[in-house]
Amino acid sequence: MRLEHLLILAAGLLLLLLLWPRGEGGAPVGPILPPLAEIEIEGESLTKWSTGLSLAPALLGLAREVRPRIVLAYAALTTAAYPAGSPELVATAQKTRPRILVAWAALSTAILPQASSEFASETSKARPRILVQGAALTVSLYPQGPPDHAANPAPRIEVQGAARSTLIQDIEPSTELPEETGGVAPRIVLEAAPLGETEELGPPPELPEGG
Amino acid sequence: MSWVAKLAAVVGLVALGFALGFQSARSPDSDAPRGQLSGLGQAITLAQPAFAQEVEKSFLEEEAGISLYVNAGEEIDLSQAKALYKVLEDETDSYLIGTVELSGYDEYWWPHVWIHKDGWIVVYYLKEEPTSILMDWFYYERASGGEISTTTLREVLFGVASELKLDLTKIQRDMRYYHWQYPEAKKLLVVLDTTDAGSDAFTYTIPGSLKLYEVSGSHFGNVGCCGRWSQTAIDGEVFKKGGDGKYVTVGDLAPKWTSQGVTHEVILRHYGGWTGIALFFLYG
Repeated sequence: MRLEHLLILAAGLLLLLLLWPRGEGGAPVGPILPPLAEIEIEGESLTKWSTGLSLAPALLGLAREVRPRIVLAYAALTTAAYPAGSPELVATAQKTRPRILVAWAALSTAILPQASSEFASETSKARPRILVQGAALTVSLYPQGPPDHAANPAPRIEVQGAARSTLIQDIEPSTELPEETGGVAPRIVLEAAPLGETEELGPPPELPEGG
Repeated sequence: MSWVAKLAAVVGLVALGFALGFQSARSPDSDAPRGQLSGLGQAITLAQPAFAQEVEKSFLEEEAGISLYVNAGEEIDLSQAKALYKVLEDETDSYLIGTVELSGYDEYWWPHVWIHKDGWIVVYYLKEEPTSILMDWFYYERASGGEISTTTLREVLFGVASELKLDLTKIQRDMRYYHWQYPEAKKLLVVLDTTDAGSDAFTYTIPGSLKLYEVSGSHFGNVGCCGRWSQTAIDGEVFKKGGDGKYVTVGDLAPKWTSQGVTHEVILRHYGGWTGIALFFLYG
């Protein structure tokens, strides 16, 4: 083999050696992080289990297509699980943290006898998120409720507050009413409730010509 | 040119080609921490572009905590799946969402389940619940202890998959856990201790370099009646306790019990029957 051939071969091998990646490091790639630290556990007869956590990207995209809805927590489940009036449901209702008042109202209505002293204390603690349910709750339990509720309602919607107030006050039968109405159960009488000031509506605006 | 010279030239060119090819194919970020560019001696943090920050959150990111999900690999008949729900919250042509019963447990333990007709099933607890709600003590007790072979979410997932006659082998192989409120969490460690001897203890130490997201516990007691009790204490203070009967109570550990770089001691005590504690560490 002639000298120039050897030189060409040597140059090629040298180039290969110079450019070949060295191990796993190669060029600097930034700070080398220590391996993931582990929690140290010491004790006898321990059982350990571990798993990785990960998310499939396709799942997230699909989840974004789900429309908003009302999320029912275990309050609604409780209504279905216990018979009305059962002590178990009373106990569970006292511990339940409802996310939707509908569940609370339906729950309470179903489990406590009408006009019982227990329900009076329960409703005084209830903080309704939807006042309609509060009104419906009160209607079904108090034919003629205590005046305290009329004094302390915290309505978010005035109409509902009015309906609530109307319903829980004692209703005296009018002597002018026919006798057969004397036994009629209380109902929503909006006319009896102060709904706030009314506005007089003016005449409709004139339509533009040629419109 | 002689054949030797040609061979030398070819070898040299081939060697050069390989070397250049290695350099270009090798990713500069393969060994680098996420968000850093290599080779320049500088660290550049990639920021989330503004438009990505405005992407609306999915319902799972809004409401879910710990979850177990799988793609069954086949379409799901939603009309069949509907019957599995105890409470159905929403129903469309594409999916069902609601609550499915966890057998043997009261309603607090029943997880939400989202079933999509394309085969996705996600079983999850709401984000208000600690991850330790995964501990299925009643199954563990029936199995006479030993290894932790299932979780509450797994039991519901397999129940649903079984009713829908899905491939359970594929379910077992492909199912994954994920916590929607801690997307950076990569590992879940469960440490379980039980005793019927009156008391037992163990310690745990969380390294300072570890990124910890949540630590929660599940305390179990099956102590009988009457005047019986069980208790789990951490660093001398009661974490959870109970009286007569059989019960499970779950909760997050207070910050004082998750301080890193110090050793914390867990002591189980009971009077009657047996008791157990399972600690769940979420970290990444």
